[in-house]
Amino acid sequence: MPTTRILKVGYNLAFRSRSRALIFIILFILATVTTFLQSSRIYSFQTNDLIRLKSVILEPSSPITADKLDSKIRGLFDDVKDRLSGFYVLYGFKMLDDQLLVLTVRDYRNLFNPIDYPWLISEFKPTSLVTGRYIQGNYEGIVNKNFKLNFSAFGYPVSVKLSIGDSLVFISGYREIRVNIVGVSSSDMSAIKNALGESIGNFLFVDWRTFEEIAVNVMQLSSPLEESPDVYVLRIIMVVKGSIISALTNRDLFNNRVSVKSEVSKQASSITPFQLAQIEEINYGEFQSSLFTFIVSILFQLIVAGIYAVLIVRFHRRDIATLRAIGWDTKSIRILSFGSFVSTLLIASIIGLIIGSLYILLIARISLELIPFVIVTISNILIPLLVGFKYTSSATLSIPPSEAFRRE
Amino acid sequence: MSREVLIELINITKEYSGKKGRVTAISDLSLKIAKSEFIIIGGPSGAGKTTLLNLIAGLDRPTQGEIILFRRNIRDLDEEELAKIRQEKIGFIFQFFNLIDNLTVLENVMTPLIPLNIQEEEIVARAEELLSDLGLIGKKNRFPRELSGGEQQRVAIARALIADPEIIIADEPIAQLDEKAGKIVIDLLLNAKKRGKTIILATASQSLVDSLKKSADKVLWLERGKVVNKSEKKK
Repeated sequence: MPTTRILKVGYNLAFRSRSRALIFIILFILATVTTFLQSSRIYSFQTNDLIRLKSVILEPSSPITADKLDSKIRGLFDDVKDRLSGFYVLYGFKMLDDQLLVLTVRDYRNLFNPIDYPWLISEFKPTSLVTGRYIQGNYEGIVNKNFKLNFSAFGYPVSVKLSIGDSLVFISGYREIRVNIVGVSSSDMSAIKNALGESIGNFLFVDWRTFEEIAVNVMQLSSPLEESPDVYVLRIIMVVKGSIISALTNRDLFNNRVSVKSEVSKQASSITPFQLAQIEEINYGEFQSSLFTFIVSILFQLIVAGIYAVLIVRFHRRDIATLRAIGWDTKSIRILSFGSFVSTLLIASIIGLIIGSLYILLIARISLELIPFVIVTISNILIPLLVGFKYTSSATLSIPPSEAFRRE
Repeated sequence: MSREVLIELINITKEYSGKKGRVTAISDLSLKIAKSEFIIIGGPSGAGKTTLLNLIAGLDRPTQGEIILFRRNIRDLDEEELAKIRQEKIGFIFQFFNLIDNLTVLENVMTPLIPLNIQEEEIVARAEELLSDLGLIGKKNRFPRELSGGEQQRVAIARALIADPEIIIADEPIAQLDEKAGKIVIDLLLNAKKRGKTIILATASQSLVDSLKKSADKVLWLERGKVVNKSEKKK
């Protein structure tokens, strides 16, 4: 196939001038890694760092049950809901002789954003898992690291440990509720234990429907569970409004966070025992510098790609004139410049993505998500590729073939 | 019987815009190039030889006059059509060889055929055969910088011949070579002529013109864009 052959010539033109290609490969790798890390960082503001950036957390200083929640929190909710994109509650009930606390998170009064869910409870969010994954549907659960239930069977003590792949089966009459363990949390659950005021050793985090089925069918708790005296309210998570992109130009997100906290302080006595939880918040300066670095890294990539495109045309001017003189058509010249420019960019970007992924997974320990890959692919590969290809092909075609005869 | 005319230049003038205004590189020049002819274009540096070669090859267009390239007026041809004519019918040999530094000898020879729908094996076989004929097969995987000037020009000749063109245009092909290497290159061109190729050779060397006069069908001597001396072998 001529196209493959022409691409190969382009690749050879780029890669056999090793020092030049190497410099740009290193620069492309640097730019890719930087953009990848920064886009992961930006993305983590919506995921792993959602709580630190956009949330106001309330925790009970003494145990409180769901039946008292509405009277304590409704006033606050009504006052701050226009500044919130989500209002969530962490519920839990004890079972198996107080050996096990079953937990779930649910919105309060339909104020929620579905993409928030995996990141609302820091103990069970995807990046807090030592192994496995976050729950993706009904009958899936996450347990704590040293999960161990003790029973007595035929007069003998029996211990059951659970880990990934195991199932916890709850039987009520003819009904069987099988919860598959899909993740194990690394958290010591100290905040939840404090909210409960007791030291429980085993935690099972499930979605609302599974929680409800176990509570109603197995534990025979009264429904609705949101008003049950046997269900504990362990945490309230308020997520403020404000998009990450708009935060570059205005401070709505941060202003909302401050005003919600101030409202909480004002109503401190009426919402007792709930109080503000101390979390390490991301401030405006830190956030802005992350966004700024992200934009700079994209610009850096475009500049590197632009310089490389200009140099490729400059260095291969005589070669391209010669090829045009000996009869290469426009399409072939375009494919050649594409092969020459893109091969370097692609190889560097792939190496950059691998290095970036390893860094994110092993060192930075930021969640490795699809979105940053998409951002990096678009910003670091597709845009420079299109710009560079457009420039190199039009610039190479502007080289008159008669230049092949020009004296050096 | 007269030979088939491949290229005809009719009263062509080529002007360039320079810093000092319009510069006339070629002035009112007419020339017929017939099949299997050996044409020498001589003249000092700046006489317009290269401009004339550019016009003959369809690399440039005249300011005035007509150029008929393989029976078609180049005014009616776009750049793609001209490129196709060059690809199929014209082989180039440049003064500075114009080999591509980052391609091997074999790859350089293959370049004219790379964009064509020809099996790679066939292109490689043709290139290797030519390199073999030119005594360079042992150096097919070397890069141009690893060859002497004479060897580089032989590679350029192989590249000019690989598409089996009807016309070979050589722009000062031995100007950069020593006497021995120059002789080899001239012999290769004369051999190509014997095989029926049309050769157009430009040179600034009066002695080369003199030595090749007998073999040439036409000799033009250019000065300041005008033919000041023209000799033509009677057919």
